[in-house]
Amino acid sequence: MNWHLYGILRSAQAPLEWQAVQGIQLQTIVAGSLGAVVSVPLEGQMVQQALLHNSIVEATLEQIPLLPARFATPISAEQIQRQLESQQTALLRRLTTLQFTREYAVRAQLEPLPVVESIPTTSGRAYLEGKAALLRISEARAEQCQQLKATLEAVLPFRESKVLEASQELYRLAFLVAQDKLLVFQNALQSVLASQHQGFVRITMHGAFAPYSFAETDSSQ
Amino acid sequence: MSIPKTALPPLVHDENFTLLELLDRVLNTGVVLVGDVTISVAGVDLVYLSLRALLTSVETARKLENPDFTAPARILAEALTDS
Repeated sequence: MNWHLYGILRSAQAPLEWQAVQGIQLQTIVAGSLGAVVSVPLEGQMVQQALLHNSIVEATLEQIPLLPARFATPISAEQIQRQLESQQTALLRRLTTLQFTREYAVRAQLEPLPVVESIPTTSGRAYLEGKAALLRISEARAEQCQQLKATLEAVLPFRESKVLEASQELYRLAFLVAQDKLLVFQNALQSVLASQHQGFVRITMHGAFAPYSFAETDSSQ
Repeated sequence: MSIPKTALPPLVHDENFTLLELLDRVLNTGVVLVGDVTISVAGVDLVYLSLRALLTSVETARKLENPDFTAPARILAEALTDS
C-alpha cells in the first residue's frame, strides 16, 4: 500500500493519536528518531489535492516542527522507513534549521524584452547593433536583480535566502524567516519594496508559507 | 510592446500571485524521499516512475526535456495538465 507523505518530524514529537484535519486521518510511520506524517492517498482534482496537502502541512506545523514534503509522493511504508534511515543525519539537520521558521516570497516582474524579430536585418551591422543592445538590456536586468537581492539581504532579518527563478522577465526570491521575526521582516520588506521599483514593472511579496523551498536536503536535491 | 509602468502600480500583495507562489512551492519544492513509486492519476493506468523524475510541476517537467526525463513522465505531466 502507498501513503501520501506530508512531512518529516522527530518521532519523539509525534502525537500518539492524530486529530483528523479536514476529514483526513493522519498517521506516523516511524524509523528511529524520525517519523513521516502520512495518510491514505488523496482523491479529487489535482489543484484541490495540492491545496489540501498544504492545509495539512500548515495545521501540523502549528503544533510540531515539520519538514514539509513536496506534493504527490505516494510511497510505501517500507520505502519511507528505508529513506528515513538512510537520510537521517541530513533530515535531522534540516529539521533543526527549519524549526520555528516560515518562508516569504518576493516576485519582481521586469518589463518584457523587445521581441527578437524587431532586431533590424537590413544590414549585418544593424543586426549586430540590435543584438548588442538586447545584450546590454539583459545585462542591466541581471544587475538590477542583483542589486534588489543585495538591498533586501542588507536590511531583512532572515536565516537563508534562495533565488528560485531568474529569467528575462521574472526574478523570484525566497527568504527563510524565524517565526518571532515575521512581523519585523514583513515591515522591513514592505518599506524596502516601496522604494525599489526602478526597472521593475512591479514587485510583490507573498507569504508566510511553510518552508518548502528550504526543506530539501543535500541528498534529495 | 512594453507595459507602461504607470499602468501597473507596484503592489506589495496580490492574491493570484500568492496562490501561484504557494502552488509552485507545494509542487516544486519540499523534502523528497527519493525512491521509485507507482502512481495512478486522472484515469491514466498505473505508471512506474522514478520519484526524482515525477515530483515536479508540469512547467519544470517540460524544462527537463532531456534523456533523464522519460516518455512516461511526459505522458503523466500532460495528464496532470488536463486534470
